[in-house]
Amino acid sequence: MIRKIFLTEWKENFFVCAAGLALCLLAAVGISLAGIGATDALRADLAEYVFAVFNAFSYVMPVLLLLKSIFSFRSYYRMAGVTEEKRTQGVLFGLFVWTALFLAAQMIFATLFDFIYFAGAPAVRGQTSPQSMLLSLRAHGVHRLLFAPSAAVTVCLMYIMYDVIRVAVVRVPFLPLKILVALIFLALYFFYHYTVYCAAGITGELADASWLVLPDSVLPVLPVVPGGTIDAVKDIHFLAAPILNLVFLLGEILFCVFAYGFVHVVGRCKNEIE
Amino acid sequence: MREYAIGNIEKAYGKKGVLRGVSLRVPAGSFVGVLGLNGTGKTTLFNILGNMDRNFTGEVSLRGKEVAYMRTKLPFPEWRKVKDLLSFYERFYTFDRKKAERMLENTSIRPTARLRALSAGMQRQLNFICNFCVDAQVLLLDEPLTNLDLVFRGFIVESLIERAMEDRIILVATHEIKEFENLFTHVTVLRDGRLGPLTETEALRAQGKSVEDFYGESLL
Repeated sequence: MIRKIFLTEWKENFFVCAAGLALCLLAAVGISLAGIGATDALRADLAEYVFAVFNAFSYVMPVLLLLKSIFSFRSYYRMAGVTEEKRTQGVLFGLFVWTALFLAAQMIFATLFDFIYFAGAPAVRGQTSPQSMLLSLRAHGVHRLLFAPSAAVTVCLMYIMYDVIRVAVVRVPFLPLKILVALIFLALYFFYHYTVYCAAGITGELADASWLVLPDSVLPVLPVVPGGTIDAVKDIHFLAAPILNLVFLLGEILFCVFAYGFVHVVGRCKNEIE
Repeated sequence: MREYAIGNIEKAYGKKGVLRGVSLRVPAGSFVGVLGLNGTGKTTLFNILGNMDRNFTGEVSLRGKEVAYMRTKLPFPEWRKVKDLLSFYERFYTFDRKKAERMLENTSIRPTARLRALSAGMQRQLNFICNFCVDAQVLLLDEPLTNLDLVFRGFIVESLIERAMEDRIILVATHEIKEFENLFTHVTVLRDGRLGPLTETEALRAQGKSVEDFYGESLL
């Protein structure tokens, strides 16, 4: 069923992502052309603008995909007997795949820009702010590709939060109780990241769990990857969720268990097809 | 084929009760006309039977992919193409795509056309063809002849004659009684939130009454 839902929606998601990538490329080409014959300092500034566009789209597109998933009109699934649970699973799968694909593609384009724009001009690259090169694999190594699934996980967790709040609003009987449950899940979502963040740090200090990935990293710094680079993405990109940090993973799993435990108890909707 | 049973369905919009205990048992192979004045709740009832609306109390024995439902309006985004709809039906229902494509050839609808490019009548044609080609136990048709030209009206009636030969159930909510007069095996009237008894049209004919006469009497 998940595959069927994915296939039904691939076109709209593909075009949203393709449009986003095309805009990034247009910005890269346009700004690059504007820099022909300019001074090194100006070229460095222009490169920062291009990277800024890429970075902005790394926020805009996942949020756009999330909003599209929330507001898409899907009563036809209901008519075809697809249960709400299956539909949600399909939406989550699509959201994860398309967010990850978009960001991975964007990182490859950012890396290509990094190579082409600075070809034969290391001095220009030297004047460009390293912080702006958030998505360049040249700047951060191929490990940085893990940012793509890491942000996709965050977007999926946001959808789960929306889904649970929707269920709470629909299914909990009294208005004050509806509001209370919705607020609890909203608070849970916004604070669990930071709680787990702290927990990861404290656990690392208290239990000498130095083998844990730092909470602000999305990269696989586990003993199985000797010499892996610690690369703080979380600090500079709100959507990054460390996906290989065991404490963080545990937090995410607990959030999902709690959210869907609640959904299981109150039920998704009336008269669901069995 | 199971009997199609609807038990004590109740539905209200706010404090206004639209359906107040609708019950019906439809034998296999029946072609049922659901009649009623505007605003009596025919579409509300069909939305429940077609699983579009789940906010009701009561029981329905067959739902989901076992029921094909032609609504008054296509429930798909207008930027989708005709072939996308066919793919959707093929994916989620037991659907005879080749038959649907053959039927579409008899219309001016191109598979590559977007829904927004189709007129209201063409959308109705597409809606009918998609649902007609679903191999479901129940076919629900809500005002199937609205917005359609004379030729396609005839086409629908012809197609339904073919379908009526099969051991399936067809429920039609319509005001166009004359065009279905000879197809109905049973009729029932929705009034004051309740369905009247399921009446055999054979019995009516034996009494020298038409369905229209029966409907007129039921409204009195």
